[in-house]
Amino acid sequence: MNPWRRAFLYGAVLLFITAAVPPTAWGAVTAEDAQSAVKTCGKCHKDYIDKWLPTKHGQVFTKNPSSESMVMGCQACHGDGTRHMTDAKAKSEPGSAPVDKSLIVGLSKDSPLTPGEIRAICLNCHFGTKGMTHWAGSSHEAANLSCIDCHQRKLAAAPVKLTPQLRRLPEQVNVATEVCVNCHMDKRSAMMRSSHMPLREGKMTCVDCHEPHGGKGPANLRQASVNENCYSCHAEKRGPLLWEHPPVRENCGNCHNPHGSNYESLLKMKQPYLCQTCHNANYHPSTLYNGSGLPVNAGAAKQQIYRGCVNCHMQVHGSNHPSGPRFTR
Amino acid sequence: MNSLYFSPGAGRKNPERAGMIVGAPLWLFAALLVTLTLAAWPQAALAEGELEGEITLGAQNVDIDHVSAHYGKFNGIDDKGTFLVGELELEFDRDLFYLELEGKDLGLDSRSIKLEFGSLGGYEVTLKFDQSPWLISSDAKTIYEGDGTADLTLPAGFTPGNYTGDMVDQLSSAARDIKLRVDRKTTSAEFEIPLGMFMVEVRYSSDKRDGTRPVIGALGTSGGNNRAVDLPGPVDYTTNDMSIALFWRSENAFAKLDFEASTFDNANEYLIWDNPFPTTVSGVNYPTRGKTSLPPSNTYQRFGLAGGLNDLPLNTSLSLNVDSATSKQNNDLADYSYNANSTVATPLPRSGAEAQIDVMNYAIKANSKPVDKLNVALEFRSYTTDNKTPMDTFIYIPLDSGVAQDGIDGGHALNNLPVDHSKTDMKADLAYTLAPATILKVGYLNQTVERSYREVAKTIEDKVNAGITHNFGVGNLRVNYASSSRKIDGHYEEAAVYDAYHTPEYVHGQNPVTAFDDHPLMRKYDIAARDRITTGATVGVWPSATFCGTLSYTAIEDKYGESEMGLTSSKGSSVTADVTVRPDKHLALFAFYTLDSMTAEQASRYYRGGGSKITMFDDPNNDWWATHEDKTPTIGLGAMVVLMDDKLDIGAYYSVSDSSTAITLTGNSGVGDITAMPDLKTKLTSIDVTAKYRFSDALTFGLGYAMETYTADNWSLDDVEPASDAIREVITMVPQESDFTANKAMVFIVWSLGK
Repeated sequence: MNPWRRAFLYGAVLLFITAAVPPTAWGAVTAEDAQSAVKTCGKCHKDYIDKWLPTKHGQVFTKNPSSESMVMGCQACHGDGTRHMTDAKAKSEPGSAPVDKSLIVGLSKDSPLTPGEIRAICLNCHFGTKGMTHWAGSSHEAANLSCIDCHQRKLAAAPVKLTPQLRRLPEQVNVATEVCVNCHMDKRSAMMRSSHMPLREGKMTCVDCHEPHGGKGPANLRQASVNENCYSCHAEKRGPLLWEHPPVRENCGNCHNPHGSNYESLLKMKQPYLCQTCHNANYHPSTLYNGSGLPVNAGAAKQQIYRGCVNCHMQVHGSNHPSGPRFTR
Repeated sequence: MNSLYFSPGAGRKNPERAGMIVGAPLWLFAALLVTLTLAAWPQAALAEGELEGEITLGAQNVDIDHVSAHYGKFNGIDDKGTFLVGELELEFDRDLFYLELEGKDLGLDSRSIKLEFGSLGGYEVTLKFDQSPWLISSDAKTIYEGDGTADLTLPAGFTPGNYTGDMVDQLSSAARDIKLRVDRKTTSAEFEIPLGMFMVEVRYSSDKRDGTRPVIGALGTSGGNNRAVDLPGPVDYTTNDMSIALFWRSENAFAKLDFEASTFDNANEYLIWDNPFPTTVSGVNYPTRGKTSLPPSNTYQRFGLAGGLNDLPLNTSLSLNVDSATSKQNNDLADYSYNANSTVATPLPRSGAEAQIDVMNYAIKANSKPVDKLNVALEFRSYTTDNKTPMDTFIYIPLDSGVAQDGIDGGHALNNLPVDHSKTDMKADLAYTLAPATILKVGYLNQTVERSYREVAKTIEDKVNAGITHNFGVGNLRVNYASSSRKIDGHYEEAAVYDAYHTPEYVHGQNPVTAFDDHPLMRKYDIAARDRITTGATVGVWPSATFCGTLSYTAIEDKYGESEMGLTSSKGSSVTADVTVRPDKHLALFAFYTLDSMTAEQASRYYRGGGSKITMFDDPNNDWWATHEDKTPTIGLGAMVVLMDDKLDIGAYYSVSDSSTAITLTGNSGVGDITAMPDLKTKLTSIDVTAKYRFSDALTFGLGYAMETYTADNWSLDDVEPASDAIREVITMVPQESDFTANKAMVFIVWSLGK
């Protein structure tokens, strides 16, 4: 079936199902309830609330709460505040003992909660939402990361290690990229190499390829395989082709290093040596190309200089020409 | 200005669809929308605090000492000049309605604009327009006319020569400047709406790429007599993607059903070009014109189902996904040869490519905490391709040469191989809390890969890993170690490919001893037996709120113990020291140093074909080895300073990436004299300083300065001049990588609204 027809067919089915199921609210909740709850906390934490209210969380909680937990306002994440309020009131006089912070759920970097407990709070609302469908068992969950290791809530007293408030790369680099390289430091240096994807220039971020909350592919890739991930931008490589180059069809990463390289086109090694790690047929594929005639002069081998092997085998990603089995047409 | 199409497959190939042009670029539409928004609501909106954001306007002047595509590779700046600085970030909200408009690089060819609006907690619409230039070369030269089209011709009166040296004057006089660049424009729209426990998401994007890029035209019948010419080939791609997804979610379960369809349309699937070399060189026939294939138009569709369960027994959560995808391509096949002198006795076995690959992917992952101190993560993943492309024998004509077609028993009678692979992963990771701040981790992975039409039918890899993390209050420590062994199930058999690739008639005619293409001792590294050791250690310390330091080391070491030829070993490592000091909110200093290293060793053996093959292929006197050593130290320094009662912000960044590659060659006596290879070097240095002074809550004045220098020593490109006789057999088009120093000065004003 034509893919577009199929798309519209599936779309129609989905819309039918959607329309057939009556909208189900999570409960009878009102914005007034949430605003009231937040206002209570704001009596003591005015600065905090003032910063929080314009955030997306603040806006949704106080204007259109969609779950019973949201109506609880701050308590949705920080837990029941009754004992905390009682304690704080009792100690409101100057010279009183410090407020017992253990009576409220703190979510700052020095929170006593474990990463898993913090995740559980966030997952109360974000479980199964868009982007979170592969979280369970993902590498970041297995690494015991907590949501606030990466996500700033715009108001926390941020430690120096990680915060978009303290940009440690030039402004054109996307914040998401900066957050990732805080831990994946080898990727920061890789993207500064002469051959790199446009992360330094801000035209791309790590999350264009990787889904940090768990991807369906290896290494948290958004697509099911390395190649499908690459095809999402390089559809011209998708084929399929009449003459396939087998390792290319299986994994672009066999020859390319997507995070950055010292060689043209993100290649892992310099041609012709890269090609010769797999090919040594008789004559030129098995020839040792040495420094004779370099830098380029009339004595240098054409298989070694300019585009190397690709001087002739330019269809290295596969060919659709019936005379292209050697990837030259 | 290019038109944007909302029609799948729009373009020259489907002119009837190309009529479905729906309008101007999105950014124009968005700009209009925001103008109307601002015009309609500004006073009231500003007064009520409904509209806020920032608009940045200014100018930047770029001065480059040498025109270089390397500088403007992704922003389109390929020469000195003055450019508009334009950024905007606006947010408007009234009751539940919100609108956000974001624009970046509005004065450059890399501009993007995003408009998002919706109802809080309700529907959301996102419209995006993005331009991404890709500069390949700003100072290329070509002798061809018609660049960027599918038909390239030589200038009138051009006389072919055997070698480039025989055409020096012509190449010089005919060469004209050409810019090699591809401009990508992507328009996308997304809509999502929650409907109770459901949510529907619809996405559409259209990606249009136009420009000129190098395409090699090759000639000759073997590596010994070939010629090549770098051609300015056309890029006229249109990719349309559409997806629809339905999400369902309850408190402890979710499901996602989605469908995705994509079409890629290339307006030019072949490139035809004049041959600048003679039609006969040393008895070898070359064509008058050549025909080279370009990426074929294709389609892709995928159906997916994902789901998850939470709060299962033993504190278990579960997620799974199933995807079924199909890629198709059925472009008309060209004739075996564009050369009328080629004698084709056996016609093509079919008229179209009829290529199709189906993919089935499924994965199930679980995370469980059966007891308080133990976390268990399990994963099963399977990815299988089913290549349905028919397998036929094609008796090809090499490079449009005017030769008679082989018979079915000839070396040019080859079968297209519908390669497949199937990968299955089974993984288990356990984390046990030894002490409140100490976690011990162990894991196991089994990966089985089965492949068709490869030298190895099946590989099995077993990996064990262990690690420990410890938080010690003012820091943490992470140590990881993994050991894996990939084994071949059966034997590595070059014949498995050779026998399938060639016809039985050809194979039967060969001496069984020399019936191979790649040497039987060659082991292709992606399927070779391999032992891998992965190590990593990270120490982070933050003794106070003002200091943070990290020392990190990672390494992957591979040994291909059964590979006498091919890649025999490799080791990559990266060590980083990273420090941030923030004595108070007015000052932050940071620095890092990373040393990336890579060492790879390969082995091979030189041998000739024909009658020499049987004596040479087995002669270790012709063995040779290459060792590659990459070192790339990268340094980054930065500072942020806030002065003058928080009114002046200064940010300064410096980075340098300085790579070098040494290739050391050795060989036995039969290889002959070996001249040492020059090193490859690249060095990229960047300085970026920005100062912003806030006159008032509404107005900020800014100055910026940036410098970037790039130098390269590249033995494959140095001294190569375009359209010259630098290489005897290759007419080049792109010069050596351009060293440059670029200085950029910027002045801008930021207008803050709603403050």
